[in-house]
Amino acid sequence: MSDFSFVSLLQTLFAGLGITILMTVVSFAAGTLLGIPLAIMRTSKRWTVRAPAMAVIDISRGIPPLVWLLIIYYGVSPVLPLEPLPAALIGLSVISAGYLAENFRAGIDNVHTGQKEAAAALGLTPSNQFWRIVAPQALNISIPPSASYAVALLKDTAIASIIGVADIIFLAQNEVSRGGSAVFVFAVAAVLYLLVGIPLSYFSRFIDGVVRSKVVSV
Amino acid sequence: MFDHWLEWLPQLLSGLGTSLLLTACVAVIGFPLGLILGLLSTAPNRAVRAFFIAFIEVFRGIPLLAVIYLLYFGLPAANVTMTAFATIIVGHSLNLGAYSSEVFRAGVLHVGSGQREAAASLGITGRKAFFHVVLPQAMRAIPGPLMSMLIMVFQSTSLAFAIGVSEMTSTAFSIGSMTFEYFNVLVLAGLIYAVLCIVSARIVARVEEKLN
Amino acid sequence: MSESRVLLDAESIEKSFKDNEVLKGITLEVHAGEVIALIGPSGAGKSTFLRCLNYLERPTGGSLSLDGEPAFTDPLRPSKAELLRLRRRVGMVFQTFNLFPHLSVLKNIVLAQKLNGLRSTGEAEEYAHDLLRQVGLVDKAHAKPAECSGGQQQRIAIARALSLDPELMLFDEPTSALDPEVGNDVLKVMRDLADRGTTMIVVTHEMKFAERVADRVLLLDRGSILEEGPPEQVFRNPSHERTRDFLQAVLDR
Repeated sequence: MSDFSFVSLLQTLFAGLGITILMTVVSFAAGTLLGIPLAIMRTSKRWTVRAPAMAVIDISRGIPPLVWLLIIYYGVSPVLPLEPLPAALIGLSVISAGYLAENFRAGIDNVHTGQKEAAAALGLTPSNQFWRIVAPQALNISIPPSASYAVALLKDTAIASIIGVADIIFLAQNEVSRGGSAVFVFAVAAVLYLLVGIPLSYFSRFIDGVVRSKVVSV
Repeated sequence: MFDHWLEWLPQLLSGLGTSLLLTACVAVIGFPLGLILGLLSTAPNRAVRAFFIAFIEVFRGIPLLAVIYLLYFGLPAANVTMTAFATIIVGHSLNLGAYSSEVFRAGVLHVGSGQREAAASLGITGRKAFFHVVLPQAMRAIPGPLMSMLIMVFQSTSLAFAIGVSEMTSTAFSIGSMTFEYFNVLVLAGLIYAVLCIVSARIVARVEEKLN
Repeated sequence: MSESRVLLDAESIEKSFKDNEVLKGITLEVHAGEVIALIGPSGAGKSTFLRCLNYLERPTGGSLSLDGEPAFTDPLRPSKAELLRLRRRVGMVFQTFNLFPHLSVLKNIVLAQKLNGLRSTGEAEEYAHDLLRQVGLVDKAHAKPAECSGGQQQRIAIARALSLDPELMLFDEPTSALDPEVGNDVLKVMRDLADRGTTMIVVTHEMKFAERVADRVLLLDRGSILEEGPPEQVFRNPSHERTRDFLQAVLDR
């Protein structure tokens, strides 16, 4: 493979990397926005609130990511035609919402019951007990697993190539079908994922350390 | 809607059989691989350790779909040809091996030094101490996480769709392409996945509770 | 006592962790049938010294002999075979019991016998039952360690250490993780062993036990032997000021 085609391969795949990162960031943000209220509903005492949240979380996590994307792209298109990218963004956001809701729920559950009791004993209203005392601690606890989920999500976005989103994998396949060496092209694609993923996972371990030391020192 | 579901069910269930078969094959290869990788990544020899830690990090760091394409489209260039079915098993096994190695490693590290010392004071060292004292205890701590991983494997066998293995997702999709009832049939397939995953996750949680 | 044979001869045992000198050359002759109590303030190096005697801790200087034979050709580089031989001849009981949680009580006692090729499974199980009878726990043979109380676990650990017929038994603060009443059951088992002529070295904070059961008391302080002699001498008429301070502090508790 000549120098020129290696450079053009890199240029192509870097364009795909942009889409991959875009999908990761958008669906992580949307997943957080949807996941927090789901988690709060999931921990409600009233089962009429809890049960629907539980069902949504279970369905979101129980259906495989690829099947989600196929349902949204092929299944919904007769009613609401979507381009591949918006379809993938919606699907990945639904999936992230389920996972992150579970993270936040575990965070809420792991705040010691004594904290709530102490707040109640000080005469805080139930809503203040939650928002002033439980929620900040729960958020702290759930930051490290959420950060490591971001790393998983980065890799999960690769399935969007199957419905035609022009991410790293999709463009790599294109290169191969135009005669590029499959081993070489996919190896370069893999390196691009590592280039983003490894720093991201070190960052998530770093956050884990920071949060841990904070929790211990309190 | 539901009369269609009944009509499609036999085909989907036979696809499900393939999905489960893939999952079982991946478990049989991936878990022993994970155990070996976990042990090698704690080897006393620094070069060995570094190599296998890097191996694990790479397979944890790249999307499974990239591994599958690399094997399926790349290996023929090296004169190695695998069926799509075998490619899915190998790709998933490498992935599961890398992920489960961490669980095995943590399980082994979790067994305290007191146990090794007690064994040593009884003249049990080296391989004997590992197989009779450390490993059995490590094994007790890990079935929960490993079962959860297996549920993830079952879900991700749907990637076999990408290279045309006719498991449940591919079956659902091809029914969809013939009937144009994509939504109906994909939702049915999705619900079958979901029910199996949710039920087995609940069972795993129950078993884990009992073990502790 | 002095006429009987020397079972263990520890010759100026040293141990340093990096720059920290924990043992500054401790010499100790243990005669067959003797019971030695190692006492002293925490951090004195008692446990470290005890662990050097079966090489769980590797001394950085000095040598060990068993029955007049050097335990190692090179004490700084013990061979695997030499280590195994030493550990089969020296039993150890830990502060935190360290029973194998995945094995039944009986199997805890059988395992080392089998792996060391000492007895067949049948013989090993029979012997394990005998040992459990000795420590009064034969009814626990098929229980898991987690189903036994702390005191029971420690008595099982003693039976386990005895399973290789050691010539010398090391006890590393065997009762300090236990409530006093429960600890007494363990001390009673140890007294029985002493009465039957078992050679023992016991690191302990139980001064009464040291006074009543030990033939000789060693007081370690800052990595050296500060005071040594029969219990009545060490406890009633110590020759060092620091010994008096230590005993005063312990007895005040």
